[in-house]
Amino acid sequence: MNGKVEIVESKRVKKGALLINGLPDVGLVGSIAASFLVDNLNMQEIGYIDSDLLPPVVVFHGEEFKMPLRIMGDGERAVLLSEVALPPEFFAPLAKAVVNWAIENGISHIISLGGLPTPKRMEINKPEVGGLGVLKEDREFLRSRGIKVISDGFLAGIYALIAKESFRRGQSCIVLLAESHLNYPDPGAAASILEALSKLFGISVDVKPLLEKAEELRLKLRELMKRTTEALRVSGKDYEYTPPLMYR
Amino acid sequence: MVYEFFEAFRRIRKDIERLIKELEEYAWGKPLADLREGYLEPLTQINETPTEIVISMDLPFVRGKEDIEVSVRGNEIFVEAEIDREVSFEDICAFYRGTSFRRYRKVIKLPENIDIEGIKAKFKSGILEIKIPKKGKSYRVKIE
Repeated sequence: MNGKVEIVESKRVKKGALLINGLPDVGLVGSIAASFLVDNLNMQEIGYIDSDLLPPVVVFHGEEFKMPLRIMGDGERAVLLSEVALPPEFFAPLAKAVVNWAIENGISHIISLGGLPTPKRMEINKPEVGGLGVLKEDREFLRSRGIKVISDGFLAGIYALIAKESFRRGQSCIVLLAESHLNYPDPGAAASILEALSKLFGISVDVKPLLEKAEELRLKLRELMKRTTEALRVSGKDYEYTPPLMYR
Repeated sequence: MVYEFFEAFRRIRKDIERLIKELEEYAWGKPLADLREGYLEPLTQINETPTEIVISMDLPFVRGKEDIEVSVRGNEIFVEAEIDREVSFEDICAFYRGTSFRRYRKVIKLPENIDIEGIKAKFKSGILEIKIPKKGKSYRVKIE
């Protein structure tokens, strides 16, 4: 494949569907939120993404062979999930392939779910969620649904590249970020993100079971968190601590 | 003279052993668990400020501060905590087949310039935070 990214679909999504990204990042917020959503909405696997830039692993679940980077869906929504930490050299080709796939499939909005590392997270009971909108309409949409639009700062990592590619191609793209731990799995932040997603698109899920399972998730996701932290360390994520230049 | 030679040799051998261990861990990775001893290694974050070192650890299923022991021995800090149930991962990962865990354990090497008696710890929302003050007075430098 020589660094190429292949998206293999077994089912199509409807035109105007949402694409929700739950990829391993800060506090595994997106991964936890998206997995919970997939379980709750009883989504089925509708495809997978493969590349020789991915770690040489496959996954087995209940004896079944699975690709580690899968697309789940229910027709109205597609959710991108990864069971492996993504290597930084895979970010750019993945972002291009995902946005291209979204445009070809008539996706209405790409929504990336993630965390915003907050040093005082220990003191915060209910993490707040802010949003970034690539297009002006995205920002207006966030505001109209009562989600605070983050105005200044850097975004780094895979979601930055998906946003960049969306901007280049004029694709609607929203990044939702919840206050979270940097390198501890954060189910509390994931619950806040799901509530924000519900405000935006009316995807109603009861987050109580997620919060009840929080400790179990923190325990089970330790190894993925460790690998994700290692990947984040070399992916320029620390740019997010850098105030940008003051010109517009 | 002979003693010094053997002492230097012993130090070199120790350094080489440590390097080999680090290389093995780097090459093969190391799970956050000791399967033989039956303990889990907590996710840990270490930050340094001009005045202190802050260590934090994520300790899910640890109920309270009475279940945690923090001690300093020589130039190392030891943390042990009791998990309130027997934890097993064998239903989700074949690697852990036949093992279960009841404790967290973590040992961290400390630098020399710390004030051991000033170490403070707190446990909140399942996270242990240890603050280790640095030794030595700080002087304000006059700017001309």
